[in-house]
Formats: sequence, C-alpha cells, structure tokens
Amino acid sequence: MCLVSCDLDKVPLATLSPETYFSNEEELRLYSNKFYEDIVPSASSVFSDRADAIISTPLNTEVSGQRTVPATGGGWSWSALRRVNYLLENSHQTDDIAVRNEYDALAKFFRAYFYFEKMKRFGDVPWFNEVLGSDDERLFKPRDSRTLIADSIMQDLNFAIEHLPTTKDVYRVNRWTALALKSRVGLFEGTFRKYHGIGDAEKYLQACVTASEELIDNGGYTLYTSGSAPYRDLFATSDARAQEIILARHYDAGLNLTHNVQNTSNSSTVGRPGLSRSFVNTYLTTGGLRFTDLPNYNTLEFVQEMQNRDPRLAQTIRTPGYTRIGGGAAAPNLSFALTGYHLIKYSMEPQYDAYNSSFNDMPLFRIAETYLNFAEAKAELGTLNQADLNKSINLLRARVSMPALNLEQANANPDAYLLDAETGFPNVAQKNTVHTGVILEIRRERGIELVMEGHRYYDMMRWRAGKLFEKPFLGMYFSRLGDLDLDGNGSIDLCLYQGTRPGSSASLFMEVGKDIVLSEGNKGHVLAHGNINRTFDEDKDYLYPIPTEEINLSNKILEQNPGW
Amino acid sequence: MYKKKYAILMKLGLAIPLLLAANLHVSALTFGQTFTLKQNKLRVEQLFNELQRQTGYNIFYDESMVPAAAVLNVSYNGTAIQTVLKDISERYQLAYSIVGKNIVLSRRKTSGSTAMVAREIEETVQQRTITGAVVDESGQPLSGVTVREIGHENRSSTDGEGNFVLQLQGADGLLRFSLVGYLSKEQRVGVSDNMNIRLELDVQEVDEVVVVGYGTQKKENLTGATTVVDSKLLQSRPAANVSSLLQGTVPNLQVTFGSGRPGASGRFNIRGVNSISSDAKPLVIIDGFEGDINRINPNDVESITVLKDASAAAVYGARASYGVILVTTKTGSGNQASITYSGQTSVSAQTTSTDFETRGYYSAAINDLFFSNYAGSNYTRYTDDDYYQLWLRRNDETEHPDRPWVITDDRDGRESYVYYGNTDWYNHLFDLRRPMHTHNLSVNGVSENIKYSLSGNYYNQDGVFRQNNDDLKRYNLRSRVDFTVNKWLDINTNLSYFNSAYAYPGPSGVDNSFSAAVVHGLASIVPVNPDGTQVYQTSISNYNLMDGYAALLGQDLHRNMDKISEFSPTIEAVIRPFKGFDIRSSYRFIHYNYQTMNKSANIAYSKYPGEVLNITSGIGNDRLYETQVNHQYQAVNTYATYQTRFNNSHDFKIMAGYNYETKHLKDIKVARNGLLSDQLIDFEVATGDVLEINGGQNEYALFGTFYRLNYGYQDKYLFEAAGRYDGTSRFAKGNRFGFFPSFSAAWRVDKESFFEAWDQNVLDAFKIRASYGSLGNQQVGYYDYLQTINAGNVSKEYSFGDVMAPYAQESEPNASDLTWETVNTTNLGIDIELLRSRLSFTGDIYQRETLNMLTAGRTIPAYYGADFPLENASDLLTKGWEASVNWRDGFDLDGKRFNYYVGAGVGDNTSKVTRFDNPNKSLAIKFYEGQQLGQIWGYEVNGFFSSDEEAANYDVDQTSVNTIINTSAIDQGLHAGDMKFEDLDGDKIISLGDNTADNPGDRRVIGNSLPRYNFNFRLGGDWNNIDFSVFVQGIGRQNWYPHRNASYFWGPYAQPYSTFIGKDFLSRVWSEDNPDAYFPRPRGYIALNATNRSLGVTNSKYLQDLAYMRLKNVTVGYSLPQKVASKAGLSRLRVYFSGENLLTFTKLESKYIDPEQAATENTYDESTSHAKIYPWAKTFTFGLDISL
Repeated sequence: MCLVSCDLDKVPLATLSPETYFSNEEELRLYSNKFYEDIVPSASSVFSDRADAIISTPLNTEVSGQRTVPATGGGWSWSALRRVNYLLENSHQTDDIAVRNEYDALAKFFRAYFYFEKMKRFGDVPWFNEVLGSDDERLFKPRDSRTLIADSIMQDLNFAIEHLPTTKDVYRVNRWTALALKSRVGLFEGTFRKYHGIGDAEKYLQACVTASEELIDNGGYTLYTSGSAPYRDLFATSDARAQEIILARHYDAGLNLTHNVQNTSNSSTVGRPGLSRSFVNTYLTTGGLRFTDLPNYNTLEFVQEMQNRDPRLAQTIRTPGYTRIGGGAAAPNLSFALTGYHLIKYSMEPQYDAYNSSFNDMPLFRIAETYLNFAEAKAELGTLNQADLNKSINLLRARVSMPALNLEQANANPDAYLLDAETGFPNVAQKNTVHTGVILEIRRERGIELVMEGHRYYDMMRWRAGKLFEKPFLGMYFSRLGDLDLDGNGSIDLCLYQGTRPGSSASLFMEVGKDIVLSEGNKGHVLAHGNINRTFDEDKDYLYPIPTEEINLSNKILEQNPGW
Repeated sequence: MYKKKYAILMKLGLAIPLLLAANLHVSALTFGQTFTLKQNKLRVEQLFNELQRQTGYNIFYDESMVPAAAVLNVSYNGTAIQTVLKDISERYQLAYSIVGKNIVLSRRKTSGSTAMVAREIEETVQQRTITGAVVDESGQPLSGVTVREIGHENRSSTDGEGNFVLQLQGADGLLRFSLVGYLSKEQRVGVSDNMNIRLELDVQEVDEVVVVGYGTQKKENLTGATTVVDSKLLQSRPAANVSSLLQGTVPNLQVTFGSGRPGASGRFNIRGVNSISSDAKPLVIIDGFEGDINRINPNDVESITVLKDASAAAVYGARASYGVILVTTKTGSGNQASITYSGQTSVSAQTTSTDFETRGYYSAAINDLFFSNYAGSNYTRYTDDDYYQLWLRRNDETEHPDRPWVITDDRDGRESYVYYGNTDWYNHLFDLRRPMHTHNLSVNGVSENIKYSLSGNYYNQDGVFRQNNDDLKRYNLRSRVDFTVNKWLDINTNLSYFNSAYAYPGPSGVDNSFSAAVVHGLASIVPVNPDGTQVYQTSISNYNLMDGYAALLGQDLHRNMDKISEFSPTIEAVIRPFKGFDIRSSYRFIHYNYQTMNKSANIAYSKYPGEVLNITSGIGNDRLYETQVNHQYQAVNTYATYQTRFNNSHDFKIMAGYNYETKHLKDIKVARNGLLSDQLIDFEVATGDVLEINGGQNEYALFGTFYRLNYGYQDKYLFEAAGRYDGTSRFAKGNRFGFFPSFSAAWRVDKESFFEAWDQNVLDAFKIRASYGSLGNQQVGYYDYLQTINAGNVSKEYSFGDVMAPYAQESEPNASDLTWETVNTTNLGIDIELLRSRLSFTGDIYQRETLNMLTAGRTIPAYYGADFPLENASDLLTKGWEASVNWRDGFDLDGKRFNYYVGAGVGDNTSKVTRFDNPNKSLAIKFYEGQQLGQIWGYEVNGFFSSDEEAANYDVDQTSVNTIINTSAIDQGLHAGDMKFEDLDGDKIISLGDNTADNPGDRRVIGNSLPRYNFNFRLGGDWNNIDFSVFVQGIGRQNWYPHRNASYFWGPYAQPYSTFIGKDFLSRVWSEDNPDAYFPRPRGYIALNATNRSLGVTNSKYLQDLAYMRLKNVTVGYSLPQKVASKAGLSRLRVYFSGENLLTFTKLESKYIDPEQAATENTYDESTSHAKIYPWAKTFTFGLDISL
C-alpha cells in the first residue's frame, strides 16, 4: 500500500537505553559528572556567606528573622538524589567490580553531601536510597530521624572513603574529599547535638577526629605558603592551588564560566557586603594579644584600629596601605561596603570589578578547614592537646606569622569578648568544663580563616549562637564628621556631613542620617540595618520551614518544623 | 428546482477564468468532453442539469428562451458535447458559446427577432426605447445580461453580441444590469437613448469553491466550520511572510509574534487553548503536505482556508486537533502567458514612542533619586560638582566646545574619565527607518497540454541597529508545471525553494541586545571616549554600560547569521479511469537546512585615559559557534475520489486514501576559539580550543488512512462523514493507532419549497450546519514512551578543567502506555445571504472537549525527584463562538461605478479545566479542576496612602508584599504615596493564605492572560480605477502583569539605573504635589522581585489591559485605465500606497510598549513578559504591479 515503507518503528538514533548503559567506567563517569553540577554549591553561595560576619543589604531574612514559610521551593528539591540513586540502582551492569565500587562510592559521596545539606537545613528528613516509582508508598512516608540521616550519611561516607581513588584532582571527588566531608559532617553533627542538647554528640565528634586525622596525616595536603601574602594569594588566583585545596569549583573566563565575587565586593548595587565590627574585633594583634583587651578598642578610628593586626585582616579587607593587585593604592569605599570594612578576599586586577567577570576557582574543601574541624572536635571532646594544635591551628597561624596558640594559656584565660552574650558564645562555658578557652580561640581562628567561604551561617547554627543575629551590626568608628582620610595616606577619601554639603576634596560624600547612619548620631560606629528590629527565635529559627505545598501533598504526613 | 429568473446550474461565475484557473488542477480536468443520456420526455432544465453534472461545464441560459413545458426525447451515447449543444440550439433557435468551462446559451440573433423588436417599438411609439451594449472589463460583449427597469415589470436581456433593447415604462429610467458572476450595476438613462455598460467581475465569487482536506468542496455544500481568508487581505501588503498577513483576518485565528524583528514568524492558534500539555499549534498544509507557512512567497498564495472544527479537519486526524490551515499556491491559468512584476519599497517607524530622557542631568538624577531611596547612596557616584556640570550642559544637544562631555579628573586616586553628556541612546543605537524592498516576477499561462506558473521573489529588509545593521534577505522560487499526458493521466509538478538569511550584530539572540540596552546606559554617559575608545565601564561607579553591549555594538566584531534554506519538490499523478472517478498520488520531499553562526570576540574598551583593556569573558568571549540542523521529510498521499448523482436528487461523493510521512532530524553544533582573523569567519582560521562538538538525531513517522463520504439529497440535505485511522511512531506499539471519526450535516433551508413564497431579493441563502467529531493530538516528544539515556549533554555551569563538563542523563521518568489525547468538537453554524447576496452572515458556536491530555498524572511530594510522568490524565473544556458579517454593493458616482464592501468579524473562547489531579486546588500547581485557563491571581490595591498618618494607622501588615520598605535605607515603613494592599480575608495580614483557590489569602482572580474578543473590521472599494481598502484588527480584552524586569514599564522602580526613562516619567511618579500619579513614591527595586515587593507582586492596580484596536492596513491604489495600459502594451499597471500598523489604540498604561510586545509571553499559565525585545514597526509602502 505504501510507496515508501510505512514503517512506524522509529528507534532513538542518538540516545542510549538504560538497560545497556552503565556498563563501563566511561559511562559511569559521564553519568556521575552531573552530580557535581547538581550538588556542589555555586560560587555565590560560597562567597556571600551571609550571617553576622559579613553584612550586606538587603539583610537576608535568615538573619533579620523575617523568613516566611514558602509555598514551594525553599530548598526542598530532591531531583539530585534521584539521579544519584539511579546510578546506584544501575551500576550493577558493570562487570568490573572495582569500577562499580568506585562509582558507587562517588554516588554515595554525593548522596552524603546531598543529605548533609538537607539535614542542616531541615533537621529530620526522609531517607531514600532507591529511585522511587510514581506510585511508591514511600512518597508519603514521614520524616526519618536526624540520627538515621546522620548515620546513613556516615555510612555512605565510609563506603566512599573505602572505595574512592586516592589519585588527586582538585576538581574531582576522591578519597580525600570524602574524608574532608566526613570531617565536616562529624563536626557539624557533633557540635549541633552538643549545643542543642541532643545525645550522641561524641560519636560524631569522634568520627570527625578520625577522618580529619587520616586526611591530615596521609592526605599529603599542605598549606600554601608561597609569596609574601600567601593567604591572599590562596584566593586571589584564577586556578585553585591544589597543594592546599582538596576540591574546588572551576571557573574559567574562556569557558564563559564566571562569577560575581569581585563585583559584589566593589559595587554599590550588589549588596555592599562588609565585615561587621564585632567580627573584625576578633582579629588578634600581631603579638597574639586580643584586640578587644585594649581599653579603647571600641572607639579606635579605622587607621588606628588596623594597626598591628593579624595579617589576615589586611588580606581580607582594605586596610591602610592596601594596594590593588595590578593597580594602585585604594582606600576602603563606604559606598561599596556597608560597614566600611571593604572585602578584598578573592579580589584580583581592577578590570574584574565588572559584573560577573571573576573566574577564581571557588574553594569547597581545603586542608585548613580540616585542621580547624580537627582541633574543634578534639576540644569539644575534651581530648585536645598541644600537639593537636601544633599540627592544625598553629600551622594556620604560622603561615601568617602569628604566634602559636597555647592550649594552657587559652584555657587559663578565656576571652571575655568571645564569652560575652553581646559579642560571643556564652554557652561554650556552660557546655564545657575543661576547654572553654581554647574552644573560643578555635572559633575565633575558624571565623577568621574561613570567612567568605560559606561556613559562617551553619557554624552559628550548630553553636546555637543565633541570638548574635539580634545584636547591632556595626562598622567603622568615626569620632567626628568632616573630611576623613581612611587609609592614612594624607588624601581625603570620605566626607561625612550633616545639613549642607561642605566643600571637600573627598571622592565620596555621605550625608549622615541619610546616606549613612552613625550609632551616636553625629559620631560613632556605622550602624547597618539599625532600623530593622531583628529577632531570632531560638525555638524555631535554627531550622528552615518546609514548604506548605509539600505538607499538603504529603497528606499532612510531613510535619512542619517547630515554630513555623 | 431553480426558481430564479436565471437558471444557474452551477453557481460559479461565468467569466471567471481566474477562478477556474485556480482550481483547474483539482477540478477542470475532471470535466468530461462527452455526454451520455437516454431518456424520453425530458425537460430542458433536466437535460441541462445532467449535462452540467456529467461534463462539469457551467451552463447559463435564460429560462424564457425555452418554453417552460417543452419536453424532448434524447439519446446520446458518448456524444461530443458540441454535438449535443448544436442539437439543442437548433431545436430552440439558440446560439451557444463555450467560454472557458462555461456554456452560454443565448437567443440566436435573427432578422426575425430584430423585426419583432422593431414592431414592438412601433407599438409603443410614445414610450422611449433604450438600446445599448454590455461588455465585460476587457471589453468583450456579455450575453444574457438581464436588463430591468427598476420599479417596473419590463425587462430584457442582451444577445450574443451583448446588445439589448428595452422600452422604458417609468419616468425615472433607472436600469439595473445583472449577470451571475458579475457585480450588478444600476444606471440612470441619460439624454442619449444609447447606453454602454461595463460590468465587473464579482470577485467574491472566487470564494465559492473551497479547498478542503484532500479535495475541494462547493462552499454552499460545506457542512463543517471552514473559513476562507479574504484574498483581498493578502494583497498589496508589505510582509516578510504569510503569517503576518493572516493576523486578524479570521475570527478565532490568533496570530501572535514573539518579536518585531525582520521576518519574525507568527504563532497560530485556532479557537483558543486546545491542550495544556503541549504547544498548541495548528497543522499547516501547503499544497497537500505539512509545511511552514512562513516559507511561502506571499505572492504565490492562491487561497488560504482555515479548518476550524473536527469535521473539517477530520481527514488530518491526529495532527489536526488544533485546527488546520490549508494553503494553496497559484497554478497556471489564462489562455496566454502573462508576465507580472510587482515591487514594493517601504520605510518603517516604531509603533511606540521613543521619546526618552536624553538630558544627562535628569537621567542621572532620576536614577539616583530612586537608587538612594533604596540604598542610601547614589548610584552614579556623581558629586555635587558633577551634578552642577551636568546641569550646565542640560540643554546642549551636541557637545559645546566650552562644556566638554568627557573630562578627566582624579577619582579614587586615579585619573579617570568623568562623563557629562546628553546622549540620545535610543537613536544612537537604533535606526528607525528599516528600509525594505521586494521584487516579485511571475510567468503564468496555459499552452496545449501544459499549465505553468513560475515565480521568483526577493525580499530585503534592514533592521533597526544603527552601528552595524541587521538585515534579512529572502529568496523564493516556485515552479508549478502541470502536464496533461493523455485523456486519463496528468502529471503535476510543484517545486519550491526558499532561502533566508538574517544577519545581525551583537551576541547570539538578537533580542538580547534590546534587553541589555535598558540598563546602566545613562544619558550622561557617552558611547565613545575622546580618544576613540569605547566606553564600557565608568570608573567612578563601576557599572557596565548596557551590560557591556554599548561597547560591543560599537565595534563590528560580533556577527551572527541565521540561515534557512528549504527545497521542496513534489510530483503528483492524477489518473481518471472513468468518469467521476479519479486517483491522485503525490510524493513530496523536503530538505530543510538551518544554520546559525555566532561569532564573538574580545571587546576593547577604555576605563582610564590611556589604558585599553579587553572584555574577554561573557559577551567578550573569543568564540565561533556554528550549528547545522538538517531535516529530511518524505511524504506520500494517495487518495481516490468518486462522485455521482442519480435520480437527479442524490449526490454521492466518496474520497478515501492514505498518507505516510517520515522525518529525520539531525543537528551538529561546534564551537571553537582562537580565530586568527576578525574578518574571516570559519573554523579553518580557528586555532584555539574546541569548546563544543555536539550532535543529535531524531526520527518520526506517521501513517494514516482517511475517508470522507458526502451525501446530498436534492441539494437541501447535506451529510458528511469523515475520519482517519492514524498511527504514529511517538507511542509504543499497541498504543500507536487511533481512530478519529466525525460527522456533519447541513440543511439548506433556502432550497425548501416553503421558501418559494419568499421574495428572492431578500433572502438568497440560508444554511444551518452541525458537526461533531473527534481528533487526536500526538504532539509529544519523539520517544517519550521510552526511557533513554542521553550521553551528549554539556553542562552550562560546571567544568572539570579545559571544557565544560559533559554528562549523561536519563530522560524524564515516563509512562510507557501514553497514547493520543482526544479532542471532541461540536459545532453549530449558520450561513445567511440576504438582499441579493449583498449582505452575508456566518456564525458558529462550538464546544470542544480535550480529553486525556498528557499531563502529570498526579501531584505527589517532591521526593519523587522528577516531574511526574505524563499520563493521559486531564481534561479541558473550551467554548467559543465566532461571527462575521459582510456587505457589498455599488452605486454610480459621477457616472462611474463605485463598488464597496464592509465586513466585520469577531470571535471569542474560554477554556476550563475539567479534570486535573490537584485536590487541594493548590495554586502552586498550575491547574485545578474548575479553573478557567489564563486566570491571574493578584492582590487588591486600593490606591496610595494619602498621608503618613493614614499609612501609620493602617492596621494591616503588608510586610510580605512589601519587604523592601523595611530594609531600604531611607524612609522605612509605610508612608504617604505607598500602595494600600487590601485585606480581603480580614486577618489583618496580607498573605498567600493556604495558596489554594479556596483560601488564596488576600488575592483574588483579577484578570486573565488569554485574549478575548478578537475582532476585525474591513472596508474597501473602487471607483474610476482608484481602489482603497482599510483593515482594522484587535482584541477586546487581555491582561498582562508587567514582568519585574519590564524596564520600559517600571523604569527605575525596577532597576534604578534605567537607560530609557520616558520623558513624561516624573509626571507619573507620586509626590505630595502629584498625589494622583500612576506610580507610588519613588524607590528603586520595588518592582524587581515578584514575590515580596509591592510593584513586583501581581496586583490590581498595575494589572494591564492589552485590549487594542489597530489600523492594520490602509491601501490606496490607482490602476491605469485599460485603454491607456493596452496602448503601452500592458494588460495592467497599478501603483499603490499601503500603510501597515498605522494607528494603535490601547489601554496599556505605557506609550513605550506595544500591546503585542507585552503579550508575547501570554499563555494559559503565564502573563508576564518583560517586553524588552525587538520593537514592532509601522510601515509605509509604495508598490507597483505591472502585467504584460
């Protein structure tokens, strides 16, 4: 009947069948490549790091206490998990057991990563280790306990550690990445449990210690120490420095793969992030003394305030004497940094100030974090000794020529500033008997070392320190209005005024009360978001709400988090 | 059976060679040349009926020429038609002539009859006798023309040479001349007793045979909802493609455009939302096969038929559920070759205002006002002195030597450029003229056994980019040659070639340049520094001018080309084994090739004097990217038609056949960097990394058998049954085939005997139609029933090093038992012609159920991790109607005939979801049962607070829709001039409630995104070689909520760094002095978020009504009088002026956005477009038509 063949059997010509896919390493590798994009955080979620250390505008709702229950979305996405489980269900089509184990291990690493993010955000969540069918009854199962999730994560990570290759590639997950994640999860869960009064904290802290030690001792990673400002150069670089970085997210201008970190730090429209005064206060002096022990520390003006501080401060924000990479001297700019503490971490040549033109690889795991995890976990366990500090924290300090942290001295004299409920963590003293001082010092070190790397918000959550979000967010201190030389080079950088604008050679004018608010009216600290009445509800705000739509869809089997 | 004075055996115009030519390939060759009939006591009328039926000739005669009671005995067997006619003529003293496919019988001119006339003259010597002649447009005598004196009984008719004699009875002496197929003409007798009358063809008669699926049908016998596009609306209009000509021409055929760029093609929708599962596209059939309407030369279009209901579309089965558009191209006609040239040239302008703020001072100050109210600091970072400098220059339209627009100054410790310009960015970037010219040449004719029609067209339109222009070039070639091989075989060929190339500057995607231009391009900034370098970023505020596009468009290094070519040969054999039966078999092959080229390069710019830098990422990426898409399509249609009539009252027609189509689609995409030359654009000179190599391949096939049965009883009762058994490769075996039947019937009430009593001059035709049928929809993915793994993906966000990460991914989870969705349509229609067919009306109402739509079968928790598989799981009900009314007539004006027509059409439809698994009626899920499609939920806003006190006392918490108020730097909290959100549910807090239809919080349905009441209005006429036409179209209601990024609408309320701020903008901003302003108190960013900012959240105050009425086309033409033209050796010469989109009336609250631009994203579940796209044009055209 047909002049040409009336054939209706048209089989796919360029796609493969799942029944035959997953049969060799290349296929598994190609399939698992998607996990990175699905699960690894984007650059902006790493560098924005919005909590109490970096203050931006508008204030994020987690900090301002204005979060609302979303109808949908809200981080409640499960598609990445489906793909991970899909590989695990199909990898048996590979005959080579070693290859299969390796990619199962990779999948389990990502499943652990996925669930870690879910658990941090929501607490209890249901655990699924299979691809669900559309009529699977488990779609309507209630949440599994946090313990089950945490243990399952650990189980997956143990498998990953056992089977992932030891070969290093800074852009790919390997055994060392799995150890680094385990260290992170262990510390998070251990301290979360400890400070939120949930049992079994030690088990997780111990897991952190074990994993950290293995990584520190056998991973072969060392701190990057080249050049005169190694801490700055660790971030102000286009390609990750693999000696220290365990896993980085690759960015590359040639591939059109860029992010916006430098523009964010150098623009008056993209949030104007700046460090908070309370955070800047935690940087020690070069002699290892506490800045906040200075009698007038709180009313030092910028140039004085910045003298003789932990060198990392001058490698994190613009301080007097700052010169741009590939450019000249530059003073902090209050129209770019809300608080005046103008971020420079990751900043490269001025041309990359343009929108979305940064291409620094974004560090996701680095050995410095593991040092900090290790020290903190041991301290929280009460098993920390000086040798532990020397192979972790003190390496970080040595890199920037800061005096070593001494365990005994730290414990003998806990920092009042970091213990004060207004500025620090009073519950450290409540929960610890032996190591209060050193725990505070480790927290100080962690904050400073890892700022702008996406850790701060969940650190505050696990430390049960949300109340700090309620405190005033302050910036630089100004004892007077008028012409101000912020970098101490003799030229006027800023003119603060009230009423009529005075004549001035300043490049930036700000009208006090309008463009900028000072804590004491016509002098004092820059006050950011002073108008927002922030509340942090301890019974509610440590977890995110579950979208209402999902509760409805679960036939109300899914219960909302407390307080929401 | 024919009671009119003129026995019209076939209501086809007599002198319509054009029409016949148009349909020759379908009908003319079915005419037999011999006649067979053996019967006694046959009335002449019956004989003629049979003659017409067997031969297909149209027979025209005056009943009075033959005695009414005359009967005759005949015996013909395969007798040549000439013999038969001679026979009859002899018997009744008649003369006959065959003109084309028409037989005209007239009184034989004898000396006897002249003598008789003379005798009559004597007898009524006191009365005035008028003699005269009637000719057609080409001066040929017309016989059989009825001549009547109006208001009296006397009448006469013209003889074989067109002459008539008539005695006047009344004093007025007003005569009417009428002949079927011609426009009637009334003329008063003047001083002279001799009149010379010219009758013109009634062009409307062209509509009388309608192209339907796999065949043709007489319009009067149509039973389904079928609309023929008024051919006048397709002529003399400047158009890059046919879709733009069709907009507004047919009620309930919506044509929408996604862009105003040259050659932008339209999207069609017939009768509203058909399915919520896929993109609802009607099937377009070009000369029998599926094709793209935008690839036909508009000059080649002979007719366009729109099949709206299931019965009309039934023979197309599974693809026809969204309606069918049938396009027929021209074929050879006429007796001698005609060569026709037509050309047009046009210029255009924007349909919208482009009157933007060009004074640097105001541009900066407005943006800074909005920015600082939000952020507490200036956006521009201009100092007071800078502002003073800008103020001094505010009236300098060009740079004044004493007041330079660019200075250098030490800023932030570095010598920097500071800009004090007054730049008219819109006119700097865009040239509004868009010159177009197009040329069309065609040769057309018939010789012996060959009919031919050859045409070629060239179309060239420049776009709006001023620095480096974009332009479209299009070529069409078509050749239709039909061979009559022998008595029973014809071979027809139809070849067409299409080629278009659109070149444009900037990054890939021409609309990107428009959306980027709206930001950071303040009038105070200039495009080029004094040293000639491009401005990209200002050193004082660090913003990228137009996101870098200004510097990019200023350099001719980015180039793009979209090319389409399509070659489509068709061959058809027509076999006629015996009378009334024919078999047609045709084969078409289409090779379609689509190529894109996008070349980008580093962008040089200067930020500090003396330092040139390059943008090397993003839009400044050095890269050549090319794609190749090739489609190969093959199709076969074979069908046979048999028609017969017996007992003089039973008409049967049966058509059956099959169709098979298959298409193979293949893609190649390659990208590489490191081009050695800016001018050579080829991978041969690309030496860098291979950034991408990708492919893709798909195939599908369709097979269908179809039939149509027509039965008519005494031409009064018409029945039609049609259907298709359709199969597709897109479903699994076992679910592949579906059967889609339809039935329709019509009752021609005017043929009933009880209508005899009616004055035939009042009601001429009255038909009632009804149809019911079901169609399928197979518009799903090629292999959706299979789970597949696609290994060719490349991440857009992730890289492991040198290249973007490749990855494999499984397809979406699927249900393997997918099958057809079914569309059941019921249609009721009525066709009426009144007042000697001058007034006609057609109306239809319909109801359409779309059953088993392929949507997510259930809504389940997100743990599933994927979209729920598509199942045949939901239903939709659409109701609608459409009507059109036309009036045509003529009268004498200054001794010359003035013919005119007026027409109007309107259509409407609404759709409701009748099955969808969303038991909670959650609004987070797109659909729920009972939902009217397109509904827009929004908050109710009741104006502004008139005072701070009122705002402070307002006890409703509107934080959730106004968060920015509490976080921005200045004037926190509610104040005078802020929007007052109404607390509809009385809980003192503005919220989404449960986000369900039953508890939507403080929202209600405030509008609908779907268009309602599409209408058109047409009028036109001709007089004394002058012709004119006017075409108006529009829609009656459609809502749009401006997208949060709709910069032309919101200006600095969205982005307080807007390039294009309307000159009138500040007058629309609230202030204490301007409390009735349209917009609230100034503050940046309050439109930029759609969930929690006051302008961004959908609300009643800023919901727009896109209802519009557009003067779509006005054409005025002048044709050289026939005599003058023929002296010049031409058969026709016409010049005309045509204006397109001349005027637009709209309720849209912005004169900077075209209502169609705003509606580009409007669908059944979406109403927000940002409208930052290629602008729409109004066009002024001069055209010339010459025929030899």
